[in-house]
Amino acid sequence: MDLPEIAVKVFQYLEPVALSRCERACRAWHACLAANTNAVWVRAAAELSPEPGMLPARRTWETWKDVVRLKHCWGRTLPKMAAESRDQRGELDVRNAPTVVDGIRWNGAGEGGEDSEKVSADGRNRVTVMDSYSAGSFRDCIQTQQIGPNVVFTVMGVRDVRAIDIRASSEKTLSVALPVAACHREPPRLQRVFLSDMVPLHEGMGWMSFWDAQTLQQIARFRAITDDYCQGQLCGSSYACFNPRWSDDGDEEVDARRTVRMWKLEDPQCPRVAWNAQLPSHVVDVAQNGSVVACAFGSLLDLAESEDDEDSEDDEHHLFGLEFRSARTGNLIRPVPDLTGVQDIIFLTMTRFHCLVVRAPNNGQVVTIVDLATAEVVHEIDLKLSFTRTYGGLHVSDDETMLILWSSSNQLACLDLLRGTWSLHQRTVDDELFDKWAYGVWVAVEKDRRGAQESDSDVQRYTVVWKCIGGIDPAKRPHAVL
Amino acid sequence: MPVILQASDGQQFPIEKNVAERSMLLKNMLEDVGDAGDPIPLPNVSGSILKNVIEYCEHHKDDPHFAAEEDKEVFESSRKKPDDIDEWDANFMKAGKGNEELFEIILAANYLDIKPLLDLGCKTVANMIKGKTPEQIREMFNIENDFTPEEEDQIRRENEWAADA
Repeated sequence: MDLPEIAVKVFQYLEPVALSRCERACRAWHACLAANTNAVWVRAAAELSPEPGMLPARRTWETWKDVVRLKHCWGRTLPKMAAESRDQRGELDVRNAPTVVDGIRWNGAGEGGEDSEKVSADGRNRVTVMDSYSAGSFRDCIQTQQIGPNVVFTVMGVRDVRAIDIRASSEKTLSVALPVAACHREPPRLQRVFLSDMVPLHEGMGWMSFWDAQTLQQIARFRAITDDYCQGQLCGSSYACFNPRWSDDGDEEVDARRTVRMWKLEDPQCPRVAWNAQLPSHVVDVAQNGSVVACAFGSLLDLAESEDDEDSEDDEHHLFGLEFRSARTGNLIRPVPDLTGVQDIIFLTMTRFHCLVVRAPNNGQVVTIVDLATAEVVHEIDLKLSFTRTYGGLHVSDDETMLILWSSSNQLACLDLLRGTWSLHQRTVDDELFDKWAYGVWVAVEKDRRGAQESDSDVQRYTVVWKCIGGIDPAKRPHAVL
Repeated sequence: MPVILQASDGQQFPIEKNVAERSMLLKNMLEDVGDAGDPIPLPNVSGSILKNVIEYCEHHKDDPHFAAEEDKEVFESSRKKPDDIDEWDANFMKAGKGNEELFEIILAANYLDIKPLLDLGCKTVANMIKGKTPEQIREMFNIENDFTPEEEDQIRRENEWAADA
């Protein structure tokens, strides 16, 4: 096949397995396939479409190969979850019933028992290890964030931001050095992303920078909040943020923590729109999906503040709530859902169809799923005590049907947003785990305790691993076991 | 009046005009300059390959012509199956043809712009690839493995999801 255009014609007739094998034939074929990814994989993608003659949905950053790969992963995972859900319906309340994932069965009270046949000799759960990668000079502060299209994750220390391509096992360092964190009060923080291929980074003192995940070039930089901290979420090129902390300026008439700002990265001179949330207390998180912005209030911090204030009405602070606004105008566009209770809101996140509120009543964890079309609560999933509350690590699956939560105690909860069911994955060794989930792949940064010494450097102690979980055919159980 | 095609080695092949017009290159040429009766030189096609191409065109001389728009429709073409080959075409491709001859026919079809023959050749090669391991593919097409072991391992891992299919 001397001519690339003829080679492409041949490749267009091949199904995924044969295509993936051709990529491994030689450099020329690999390069030809890479240069013509969409033309070559479009037929395989078309065969996945539920409607003959129609291609499945594809996001702008995805190639048809990404779609095929994603559908392939879900094709193995979803039938298993559906079967588990069906199995439970006859006996249990599916809202509260944990299921079995990868060998560990949990009851509602959080007492787990191991299925010894499915646990490896060293006591760890069996998972398919797709790759393992030691990433440079980690420090104690480690964060990760998924960005499309090549499932790039960034990991950083105090001032060190890296992008890791899990398919290529390669890493890059941001091309522009960040300010020295010691100049500010806080180390830089990665912030959450939905439907964007940029990395939002809070450098410190309210300064935000946005980085192209592919080129690692800076796209925009501005001071989003004129205070020492900024918290928010990027969707496309729109960034919603607020100040989560008390301002030092006691003369402010309006609590600065109620002010939400919407920025367009193309116009960093001033926020496109801003508003003061009409909530009984300050904003504890914002989330957006490009058309709707959700703001939430209600936290243990409120409660503590109210107890300090003898004149306050406690009940007023023992609430949590939401408001939904237009991302374009900032106007209220949905009624506030009727939600009550002493609740500590930890996260908000959104899909195009749902607003997901992650709360921590007492020691448990509750996820409220609000339908954005009606502003009604469609599911309230109580993970009970079996799931140790999490302060980090949540991700909406690529097809927006699942919310994945990491707990700080090695648990992974997969929540089915459509059916209101959930399942748990438990690791039996107390490694340190961090997010995320993407394209059917679970990525974690873990502390290697096997033989690690106190004197070891962070480089030696931490490893980035990524694994395929859920729906693995038992006949093809992994050869590699962590 | 027959159209005379002259191969790169000088061999001449008189064929009917409607057979020649299976090639869009020849069809456009005949429309533009008319049929003066002079041999049409085809410097990129040898006599033995041209003979095969003419055999194919004679068998398909009464087939309807491909619509140009259809060619542009990437998605439409993407839905075609590689095993969608009729019996005569399959036998034509098999009949004593080695890889070298097969690729020469594909190149000639591409040069002469005979889309059905080009598709047939590509489908045939695709069917040869199907079910083969990378090693078997290299052996079949005499391809040198020029990846480093590290590169090969990396690409294998990137495609591990498909290996489970």
